[in-house]
Amino acid sequence: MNRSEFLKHSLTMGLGLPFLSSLLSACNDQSLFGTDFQPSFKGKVLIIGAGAAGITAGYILQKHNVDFQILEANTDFGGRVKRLDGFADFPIDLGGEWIHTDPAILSDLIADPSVQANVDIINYRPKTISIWRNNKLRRMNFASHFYREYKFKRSTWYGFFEQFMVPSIADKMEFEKVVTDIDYRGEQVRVTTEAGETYLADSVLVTVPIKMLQNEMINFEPAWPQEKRDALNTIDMPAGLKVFLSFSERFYPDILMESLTSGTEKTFYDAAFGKDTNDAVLGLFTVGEPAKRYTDLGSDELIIAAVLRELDTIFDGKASRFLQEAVVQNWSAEPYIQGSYSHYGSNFNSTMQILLEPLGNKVYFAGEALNEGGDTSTVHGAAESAYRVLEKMLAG
Amino acid sequence: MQRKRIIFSLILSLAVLPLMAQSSSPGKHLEVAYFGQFLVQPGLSISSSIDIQSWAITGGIAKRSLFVRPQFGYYFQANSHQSYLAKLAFGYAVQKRKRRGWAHQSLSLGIGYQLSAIQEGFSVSLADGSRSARNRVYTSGWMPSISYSQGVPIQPQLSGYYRLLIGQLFENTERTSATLFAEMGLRFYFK
Repeated sequence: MNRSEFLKHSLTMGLGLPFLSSLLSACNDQSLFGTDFQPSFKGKVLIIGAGAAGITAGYILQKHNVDFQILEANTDFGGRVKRLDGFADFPIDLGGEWIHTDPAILSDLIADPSVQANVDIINYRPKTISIWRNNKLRRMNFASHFYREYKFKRSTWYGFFEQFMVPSIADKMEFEKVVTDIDYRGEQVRVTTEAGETYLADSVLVTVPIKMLQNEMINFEPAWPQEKRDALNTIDMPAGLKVFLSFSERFYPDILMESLTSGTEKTFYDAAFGKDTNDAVLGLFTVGEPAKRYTDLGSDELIIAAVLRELDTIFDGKASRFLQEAVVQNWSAEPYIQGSYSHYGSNFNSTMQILLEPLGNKVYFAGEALNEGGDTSTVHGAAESAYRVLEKMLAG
Repeated sequence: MQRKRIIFSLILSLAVLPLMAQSSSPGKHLEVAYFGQFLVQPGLSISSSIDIQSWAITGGIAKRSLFVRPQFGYYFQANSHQSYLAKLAFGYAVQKRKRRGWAHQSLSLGIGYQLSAIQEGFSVSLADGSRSARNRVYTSGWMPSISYSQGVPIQPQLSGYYRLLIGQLFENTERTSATLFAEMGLRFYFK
């Protein structure tokens, strides 16, 4: 459930859901995935994709001395975790930004008591919340009581992986390797890239965004069973976009919401909230139909102009008056991402089980959409999925 | 450990106070209650009411009164905040004698002052997930409120009650927020 959905349900259902949410949040405080399994697997693993799941998978395999290699289509690791430096005096998360669970998850993911490092965390509880509805800006600060999320204070999700996982696996990552074919008919899996390079492995872990699989950007041989294909197509991965605007003066609340429609999100937020900065940076995070309206405009310049028009309407022209710089991260336009994150239909458990079933006991799947622990659509959920899948894969 | 001790002492006092009370007529009383903001942020409240003016009606089986109610409340959200609320309310109450004791209803307007210690951030250890360097800030603000309460007798000197309080917290000109407290507890009458 995203923030908008949570708030919408809170508003429509009264106090019950916040109470339920609080309980669920408390349940999340415990790590539910194994991090200390002993692999019996002997062989080579090929990881497709160097996003949160792929990096974590490599990190785990490295710790267990399992031979592996990571193929990433892009020029950098991270996937939907991406950092922007130099825009403000703090690093900006262009992709996954919030920590949607107890930050102790960071320790669980590292799973190494010898790592003597601390990460500074913002207790993310916005104080001023408004909603733009029927051409009126309405305060709803009471909603701040129901927020329970966290953010990195000085770092980012990208920085976390860069600092604590990537160094141990950097030499195993190959970039600009666009995988087009996975053939698992033989004893070994044969993986072919767009450039015609071939890789052989005993097991393959596919961590690419679900949209890449839905659009059949990778050809599987034999083809996916129809049941698996049908299950895959029940998951929605709608358009996604983030825009950051820096201003010479702050004129906006901590949170400004517009859309409260299920499956969509459009939230302006103070990107500098809780950071050690005086910079005024406003972020726009939008998913689904509202995001598509922007991405359909076709260029970053037109998107920024549209965002400014909206903000000027809400804040009496202050956006254009105080604007210094703007940047767009159009996730729908990223060729190896093509959207935001997964939204499940009604059959979460059965769909998940079908999708997690390995192909020929050799091709496995992980990623933000494929965490059977339940925390889908999150960065930590993607990383957690690597633990869950590898535990099965390495058990043989 | 300290918190457990406090909770144990309160439970003990709840058991002892009814034994100490002797009067069968409504008089001075003490209220001890669960005090939760939006139900999910738990806390504790202690309050009492002092009649400014009262009228006995229908042969002493009911009493109307104007009262002033001082109240002190504490509530928290783990790893988020701890808040203290001191409040003074003025209201109108009706108390009726029932077979087992006194039932009551009241409506009041109040003004409170809330002090909060908010945990804005912390460091998490990657070695074991523990938290340290908790960064706390303190905020305060006035909170006008309206509340309604209703109580039913349990024993002659003891009644159970609930109270709903809706308030608006003014921390500064930018930061005002509506809030709702639910209070459920016991009222102990003294002689």
